[in-house]
Amino acid sequence: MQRHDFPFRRRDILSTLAGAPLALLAAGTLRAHAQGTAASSLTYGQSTGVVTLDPAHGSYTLYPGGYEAGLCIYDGLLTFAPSMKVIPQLAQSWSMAADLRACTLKLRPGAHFHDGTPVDVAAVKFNIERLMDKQRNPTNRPLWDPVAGVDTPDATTVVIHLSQPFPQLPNSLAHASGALVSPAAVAKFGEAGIAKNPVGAGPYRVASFDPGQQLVLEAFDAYWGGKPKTARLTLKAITEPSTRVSALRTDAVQIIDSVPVALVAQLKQDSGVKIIAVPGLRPIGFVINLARPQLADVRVRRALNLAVPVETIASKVFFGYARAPDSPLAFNTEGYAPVSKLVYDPAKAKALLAEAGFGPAKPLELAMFFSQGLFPGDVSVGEVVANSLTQVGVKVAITKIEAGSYWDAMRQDRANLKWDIAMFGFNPANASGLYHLASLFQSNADDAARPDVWNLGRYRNPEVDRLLAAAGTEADRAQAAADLAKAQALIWNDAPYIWLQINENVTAVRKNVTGVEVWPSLFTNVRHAAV
Amino acid sequence: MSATVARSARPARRRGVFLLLGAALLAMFLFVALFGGAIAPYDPNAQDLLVLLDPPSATHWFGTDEIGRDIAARVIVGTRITLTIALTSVALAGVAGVALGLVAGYVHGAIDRVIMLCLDLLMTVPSLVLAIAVVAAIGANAVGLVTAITISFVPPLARLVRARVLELCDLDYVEAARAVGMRPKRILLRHILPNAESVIVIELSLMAGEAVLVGSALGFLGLGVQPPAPEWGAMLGASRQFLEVAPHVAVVPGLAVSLLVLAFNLFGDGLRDWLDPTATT
Amino acid sequence: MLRLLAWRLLLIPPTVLGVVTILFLIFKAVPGDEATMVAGATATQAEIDVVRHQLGLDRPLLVQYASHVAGLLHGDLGYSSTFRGNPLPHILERAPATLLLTVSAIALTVLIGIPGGILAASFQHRWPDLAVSGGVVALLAVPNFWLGMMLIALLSVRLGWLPSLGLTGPASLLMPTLALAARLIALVARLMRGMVIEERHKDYVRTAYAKGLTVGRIMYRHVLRNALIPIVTVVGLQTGYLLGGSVVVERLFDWPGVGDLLLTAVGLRDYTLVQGITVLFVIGFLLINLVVEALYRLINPRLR
Repeated sequence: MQRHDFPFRRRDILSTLAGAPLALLAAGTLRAHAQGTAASSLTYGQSTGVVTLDPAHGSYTLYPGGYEAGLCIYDGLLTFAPSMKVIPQLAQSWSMAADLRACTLKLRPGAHFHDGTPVDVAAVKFNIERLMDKQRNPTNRPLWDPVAGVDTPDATTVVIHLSQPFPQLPNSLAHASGALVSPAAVAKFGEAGIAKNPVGAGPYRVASFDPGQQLVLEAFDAYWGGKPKTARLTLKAITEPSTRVSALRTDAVQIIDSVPVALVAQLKQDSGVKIIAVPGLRPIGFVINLARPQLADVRVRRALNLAVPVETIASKVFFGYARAPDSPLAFNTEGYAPVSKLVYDPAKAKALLAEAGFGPAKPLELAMFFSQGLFPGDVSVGEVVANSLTQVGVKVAITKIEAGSYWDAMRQDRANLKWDIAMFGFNPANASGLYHLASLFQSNADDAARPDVWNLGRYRNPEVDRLLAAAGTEADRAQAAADLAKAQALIWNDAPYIWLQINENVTAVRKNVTGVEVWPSLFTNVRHAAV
Repeated sequence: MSATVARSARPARRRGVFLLLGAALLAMFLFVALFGGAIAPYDPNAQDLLVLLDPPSATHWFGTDEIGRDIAARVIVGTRITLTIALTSVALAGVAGVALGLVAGYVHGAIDRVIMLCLDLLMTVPSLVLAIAVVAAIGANAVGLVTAITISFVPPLARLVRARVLELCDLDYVEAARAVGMRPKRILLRHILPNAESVIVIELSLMAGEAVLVGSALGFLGLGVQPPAPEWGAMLGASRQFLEVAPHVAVVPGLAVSLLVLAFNLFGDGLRDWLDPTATT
Repeated sequence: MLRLLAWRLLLIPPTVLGVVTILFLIFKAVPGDEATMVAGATATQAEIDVVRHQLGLDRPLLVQYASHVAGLLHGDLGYSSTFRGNPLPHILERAPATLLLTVSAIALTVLIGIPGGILAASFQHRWPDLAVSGGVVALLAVPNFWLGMMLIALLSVRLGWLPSLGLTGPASLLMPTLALAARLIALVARLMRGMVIEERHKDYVRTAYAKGLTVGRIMYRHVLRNALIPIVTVVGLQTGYLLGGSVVVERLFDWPGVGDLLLTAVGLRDYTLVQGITVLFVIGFLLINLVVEALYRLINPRLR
């Protein structure tokens, strides 16, 4: 009896029309995100994505994801062992000249790039000259500025000439930016093209690259060190820590980095997972703006340090996965020498502040900057430090800055600095203590302008400058180490920072995964990973 | 088209209950906002790193957060922040929205079209997205937050007021007043505004609830006021990474938000039942 | 009707242009130098100037605006510092995930909201009605991200039933959808309840009662036929909420959609990306409203 007005028919049509695309959409989207778990393939869930893969031209981004990808795709003349000791890679051996102004390397024969071209001395010369060139390689300049020229006297020898004594050249060559790129690829893709089309001589070549999301690598059969055990390596960006952890637990990924320390205890109880924690190279702290008159007094700075319970922060806020420093350098940095332990004494802090003229009547006022998501626990630690300072009578105004604009706020001309103390941590990826101290504490050429490297607080100590220069050119390495130790002591006691914790780098892997190296320099190296 | 229940479906006695309940809850929140500092069991910024992320206990009724601060104290003191931001935004949006709506509705013509065009453009951007964009531009602080929320509320309010004004302008006595040559300002203030008041007040009450939701969402996303302010949304945002190990940190601030929004909703709905029982907006 | 729809479709580009203009002005007024942020922290002044020239930031404002709009017509959203280039492909790549979430939310609203409203109306003033009405009031007060967190805490952490975060398979869709749809479910249920109650007072129902006939089937045919109306109405009125709410839900559940990308862009001060995604949301909003308008005229014969 129901003729025209068929309400259900119209509804049915509409709902089916809606339903079909929904089903297709769901299937398609879910499939696109499904994990491929073929045999002999591993997925590494990274805390940051990989966007560019050129050792020069802005270097690998993002940090550390891009560097970790570079470690799989590229080989350099030298590299680091997990202990941060420099070891051979594409060069079989090396030796520095006595005057530290040249380095001779013996190239390993028989290595090839992914595109089949040989890794010969011409390729090495091409790469070194590319890295030397400020136009083509504007980043990591302190590592490459001293390089003056390259010679190739014979088919297996390369001699690198330096414009000044530079004992850290091996560290530069071992650094990720010292990776060798195929000259043929540069010719083919252009200088700017390598970032998205990397061709190196490492154990993995690029199968597909979706910048910021996923990088799929496949084993390079002709790798000089032997074909890698894992046929397919996927580097996937999972920025949210909890998501990374849950992806590991469900075996959606087999390796993750930057495990949130609050979750480590729980993760340890999971029998399918093992934790790898390695002390890091990056001491965190609050850099003090020494251009401010009230902060120029060393008593004030010492007071600020006495007011902060760093040990407690390390053991409580980071659940034990951090340590309090006793030097401006991390414990396993090359050239580290202990100076003295940090003391927590709020009473003494108040006394020192009073001595310097600050007290309840005239409190010290500080503008504190910190980021969100740039440094481990930055917001929590920032709030703890602010509170600790408040307890000794300092008035702290907090400004939390998004990660994207933090560096801009930090690296300003002296007149434009809006912070009195700002959180900062430096990671010397070449593991050199000299590099670390020079980057942060060597006097700027002009304090009024932007800092040369990372001397954000405008620290200036001529004796430290002298010691750093000496350590850099001294042929006697023992003497150089002594110079470095003295510099550390001077800096430590000058207190240009509120020294905070050194975090451990915590990576987690599935129990059956081997070969994952966690470097103190924050990188998780998966080039040898296998099930 | 209405989004509410048919009036006839609600028994008369229930109408008063909502209003009273809403008013009572709001009064409670107002009290806490004003005297929170005195009520709170601890200093909201006092940290005890030895008991961080502790579940509720005798010493800390709602537990502690990720740096050992008492959650109950923070939620109590945070009431003032949330309420201030919400009420300020609503007040500002009210002033701007009513002004624009009055002008657009009464004057009509080109000005009306221009105003409505701008407002309609703004309304095509989802309000939270618009708020995020504004905060991205101005900065994450109290001013940015209030500006963002205000901007996203002005268009719908202006529209509402304009519609009401148009309705009222149709009425005989208003037309008569215009014909007689009574000054526009007088007409607006004596005839139009008083008759639009109930609509405006109801809408503002409901918007206040909305403002709390938007404000706490922005706080959750990290786009709210600066630390260490105990803003409820920011507390929820910070608690997210600890859901696996300490879910209790997320419970109470969220309940607080829900209760406050509920209070505004009840009050607004109750107000509508009382002032404008035949309305269908 | 087709003429109306075509006209509305034609209005989309100028509307988008208007929004683009507003956003352009807002972001140009922002303090902070875009060139510096793109060039990076370690750049020298010379390098920053090079970047400024590359991005065309040294041209007069009007020229920048004109070239920006011209670029948009080709699908070039500008230079995004996150992706080092035109972010459009990356945005479009993430769009399906957001689409999946919003469409699922609407689907869930139909599945739960309609029966819920009918249930409440059928047992008016008795406990099912009180439960549903209470639920409605609660869901309208609860922030969706908090609801999501409570769902995670219960279903994922405590009970281990569902994966907590990310897009990892069909099971991972449930919680984000629930959190997003909650408000819509409440509104639809409330509207549906009202409609059914209203229907009950209609003449044909009274007549049938008087005659002693069972009204169930007839009434419910009328009701279900009109069931689409509340859905379409609510979706139409709440489009802004649906799209805006998806941003927060995506961030909470680490859902790889466009909203999550928007927040990343804000964090990185990548205004090009922020603008691009906002424009996408606006287009989405206008298209949904168009569909709603069309559906409304389709199902509501009185408006034909």
